[in-house]
Amino acid sequence: MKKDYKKPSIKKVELKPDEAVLAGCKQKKICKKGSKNPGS
Amino acid sequence: MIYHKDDSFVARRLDEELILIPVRNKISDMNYIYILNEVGARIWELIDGLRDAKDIVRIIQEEYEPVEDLEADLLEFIADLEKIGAIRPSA
Amino acid sequence: MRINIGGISLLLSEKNAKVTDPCYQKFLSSRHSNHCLRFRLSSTNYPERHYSHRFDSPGLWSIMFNNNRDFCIELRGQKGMPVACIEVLLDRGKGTIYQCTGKDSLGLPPLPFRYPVDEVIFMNILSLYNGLLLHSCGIDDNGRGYIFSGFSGSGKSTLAKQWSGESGVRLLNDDRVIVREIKGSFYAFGTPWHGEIALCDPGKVRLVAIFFIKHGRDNSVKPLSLSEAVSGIIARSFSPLWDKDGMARTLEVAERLARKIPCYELSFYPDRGVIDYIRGIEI
Repeated sequence: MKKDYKKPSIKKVELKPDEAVLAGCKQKKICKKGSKNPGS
Repeated sequence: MIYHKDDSFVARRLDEELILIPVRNKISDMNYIYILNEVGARIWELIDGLRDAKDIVRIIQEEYEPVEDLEADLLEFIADLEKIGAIRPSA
Repeated sequence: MRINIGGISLLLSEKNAKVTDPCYQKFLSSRHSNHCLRFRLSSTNYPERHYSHRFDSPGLWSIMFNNNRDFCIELRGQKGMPVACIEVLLDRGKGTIYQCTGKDSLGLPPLPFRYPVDEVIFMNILSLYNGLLLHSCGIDDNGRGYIFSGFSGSGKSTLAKQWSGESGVRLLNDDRVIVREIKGSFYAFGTPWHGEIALCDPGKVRLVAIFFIKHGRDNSVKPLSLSEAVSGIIARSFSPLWDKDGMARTLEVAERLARKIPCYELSFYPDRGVIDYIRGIEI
């Protein structure tokens, strides 16, 4: 028996690579003064 | 036109759907992962560097209930897969 | 000195090594673990081995790796110069720390127990231990484990603060939680890598549900499909996005996790009502 057809689709799911690869600095000792700590 | 899968993607079936994860060595290229629906997942499976688009249309027509715009849908979907770098034209 | 995180030990063979961070101190362990990486400090320069792949993070580190399980993390200082190379030979269960500068890093924790090196090590190895590292707050509510996962600003620490006041509740971490499958069950483990709330717990709890969180005007949940759950887990995890084999393994863990543990999208209002709401959900 044939299956129901639905138009083929690609759904995009966003990544936040800066967060995912720990690009931010969490510890103030390591970061420069005044910089953001986007790691968390 | 014959296409093959780009081998920098990790693919995994999730029941009827399929997840595609591009593996990249530059953070600027790491922005999205992708979910293909059932028909999209089946088309992905059929792209093997040997079948051309007409072969894939024929197989989908055999497996699914008839629909008017099937060939146009398929070509649009293949173009979308190429746009995200998941498939490439075979030489 | 041995630190055990998520049931995996990193051991440093250095007599005088100590950690002063109170969170890390909770993870010091004298117990032998089946999963252990033994590190030693080398007195020589890094021997510049050949690796076929390299990923440069925009932050303090790069990683070089082969198609086997060996890898090398290059750690940079504030001025961008290499400070150390940490080589891991996974199948041999050992690692070597090569200091690049020849100067002692005064006041900093000993490698590899220093941001971001230990986290990057875990990002690389967890999938081999049926685990992954989630950007999330982990709660032990009287023996029931909940994970509240989300990007920065989604409310992880806010939720952690709400839960912290409750009797019988243990906060494992407000920012990074390890999830591992052990003998067919999934557990959430605390880590020393906290966010705003400088509390962490080395314990584990059996996982009951995962919530992908966002702020809302009131509390509501929506169960997620398999693909929504798996993609949500991957998007909110710290995974080796540069390594095909590592991502394939991580994806396999994520699928098993999503099939076994109910995953929801949670929109929440930041007051105590969210706790009663979560407890009232029939999971």
